[in-house]
Amino acid sequence: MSERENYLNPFYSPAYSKAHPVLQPSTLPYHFKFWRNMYHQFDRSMHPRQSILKTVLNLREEGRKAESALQALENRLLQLGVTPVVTSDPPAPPPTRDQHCNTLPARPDSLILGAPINHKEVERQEEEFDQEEVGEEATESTDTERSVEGSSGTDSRKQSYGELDGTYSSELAKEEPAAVSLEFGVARMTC
Amino acid sequence: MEFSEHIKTANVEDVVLRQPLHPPGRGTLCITGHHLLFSDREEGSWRQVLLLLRNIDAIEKSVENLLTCSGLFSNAGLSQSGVSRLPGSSGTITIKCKDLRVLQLDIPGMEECLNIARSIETLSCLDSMSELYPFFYRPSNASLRDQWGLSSLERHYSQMKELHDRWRLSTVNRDFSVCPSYPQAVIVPKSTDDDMLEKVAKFRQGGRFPVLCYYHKKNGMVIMRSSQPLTGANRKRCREDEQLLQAVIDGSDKGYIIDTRSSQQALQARMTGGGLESKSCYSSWKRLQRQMERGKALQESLIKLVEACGDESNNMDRWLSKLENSKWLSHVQTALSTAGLLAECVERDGHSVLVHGSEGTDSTLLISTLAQLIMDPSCRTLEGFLTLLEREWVQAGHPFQQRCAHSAHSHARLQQESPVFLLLLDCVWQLWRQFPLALGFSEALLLRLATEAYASDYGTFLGNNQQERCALGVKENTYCLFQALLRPRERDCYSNPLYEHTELAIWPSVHPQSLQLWRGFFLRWTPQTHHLEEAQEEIRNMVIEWGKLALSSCPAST
Repeated sequence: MSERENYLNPFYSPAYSKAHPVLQPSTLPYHFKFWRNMYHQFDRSMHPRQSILKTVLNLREEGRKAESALQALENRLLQLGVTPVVTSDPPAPPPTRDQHCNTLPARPDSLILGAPINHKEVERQEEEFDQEEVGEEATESTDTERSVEGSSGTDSRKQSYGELDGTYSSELAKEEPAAVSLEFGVARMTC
Repeated sequence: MEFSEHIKTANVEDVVLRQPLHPPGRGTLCITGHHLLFSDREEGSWRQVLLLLRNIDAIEKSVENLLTCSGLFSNAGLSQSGVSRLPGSSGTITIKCKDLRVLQLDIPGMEECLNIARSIETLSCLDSMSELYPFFYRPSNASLRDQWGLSSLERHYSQMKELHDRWRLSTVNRDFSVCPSYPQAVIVPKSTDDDMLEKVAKFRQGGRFPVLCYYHKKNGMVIMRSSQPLTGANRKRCREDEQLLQAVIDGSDKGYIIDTRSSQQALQARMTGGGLESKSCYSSWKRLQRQMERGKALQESLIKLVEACGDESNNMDRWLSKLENSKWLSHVQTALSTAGLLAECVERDGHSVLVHGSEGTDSTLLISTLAQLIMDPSCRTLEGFLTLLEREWVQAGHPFQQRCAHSAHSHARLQQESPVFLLLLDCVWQLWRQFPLALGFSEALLLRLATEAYASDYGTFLGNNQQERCALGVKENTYCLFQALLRPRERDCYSNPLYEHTELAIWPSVHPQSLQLWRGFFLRWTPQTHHLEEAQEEIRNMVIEWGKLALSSCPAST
């Protein structure tokens, strides 16, 4: 069942299909996008590190749970013979997102920011650190969008912006995942 | 100067307006000193289109005189959309705006058409700043005595207690005599007194001596920015400048200098009086050269990109080759990459950095702003971002009046125009795309700012620096854009409902595959993007709904 959830589009609305029985995709050249998730599936450093889709799915899940909790409480009140008062404002000041999330299941991995993924990858990236930097990459790839549209595979490398004399030590690199896991409690290190 | 001098024809009836994303309409056109107003009274619905004349980049006019051939052409006067043009003389004015809209007005009467065109041409590029619309704009829901601006350097300094130890607020520039483009107060190391600052100002281009722009709380390192040192061909040196920079890295072993010119450009600058910090005099500083495009080259890049977006041929190869030739995306990549390098030096490497180019008013401000967005979570909220822009662009003396005088469509001879601020907004959009939960503002804010920089009802982007704004009385006589954007009804539209605060830095990926054309701006007026806007609106509404639901049931669940 959970597999199916992964493949559903939360924004799908049957009403939209009734209103638009025939889809008319634009064939203007600037509307074509490079399918990065497909062609760079395994290049983790390239993907957006935060996913709107996952957040929205989680919010929908929380919304459902909140609704069912609300319903259960209303039923309880009815049983006790008290008519529930419907207020539009929450009675207490709304908690911050952090507090709010502490009462809910652990945050998904989609919110990990900028950290290398796992130790194996960190070690591999350290080897690559001394190699070609992004600064050179900019002058090398004279074609920008063209290399996007007809991409040649680039292996995932640590996002480094330039040479810094190797003072960026291996300890620092290993520290980052730990720092993230402390912040976010249970954080799964997959993207 | 009276505006009415320039308006020979103020009203024309029966004008047809064609604008993108709307069906053509017929109505009355009025021209005032600052606006074009089109009122469409057909079909019972009242539609008004108000265009600020300052927003007009270029116009093209074509006149047809059909009086002599009215018999032959009375049927051919029917245009494709079914709106018939009256036989007789008429003219068409094509208006190209700075926000990339293209409008077309069909005006009956050759003389009226030419008069309107001439009025537009004169009134859309008024020279004197005090005649511009912000000095006349009077919204009903605000008062001129309201607070102007979000913050000041004095307040910023007093709020940042960590700075009080080694840094001080200097008002050496209170009458703008030391540096005409800096604000009246700047933050400098405590050990440098005002006399030293005056000497350092003489050694830096435009008097822009090194000042603090960001203090990184996690490790106490700073970002300073300035302009190029005026070493010249004789390799002059300035002891006070060296002492100031030494005081910056006091306690640490070295610092970095990020120079936004290539090594060749920096060395060539010596011929014209500029230069770079030599290793012998600035031994504790390591120089990193990162060439960033600015000035005319950047403006031409924008022109080519806009031309590519307006190409009607719908040929994929042409689109891709034009996009590539414009090189706009490589400028975006360079900007993000250099900003990432700057942030890396401060956060990961743990050293202070001095940033400068040649004038210190363009690429310097660009990367210092982006680096602060990368590193500092307080800059990522809506208020934090606007305060950042106010501090790093408006107060820091980015010459908006010169840089945003004309945009991509203009036929005028380019002088100092350069879309550096637009490049900044594009880079922020790339950040927002990569980290949609980390920024507290939406794309709508970026689009609004992109338009306001070129033509505005507000006085925030007027002038080139604080000195000019003080001289014109901008604070007393105009309204503040940033305050207007934060008003309750407006800010709902500009905030990001998915925003979640995080203390971590956000490191953008600068792989070419991670960067995209900012379609929200460059393809704003093409019809198909509406489907995407609808989807985004849907997401916003969903998130706000569920957010409210989850919050309102939270006390119940505890």
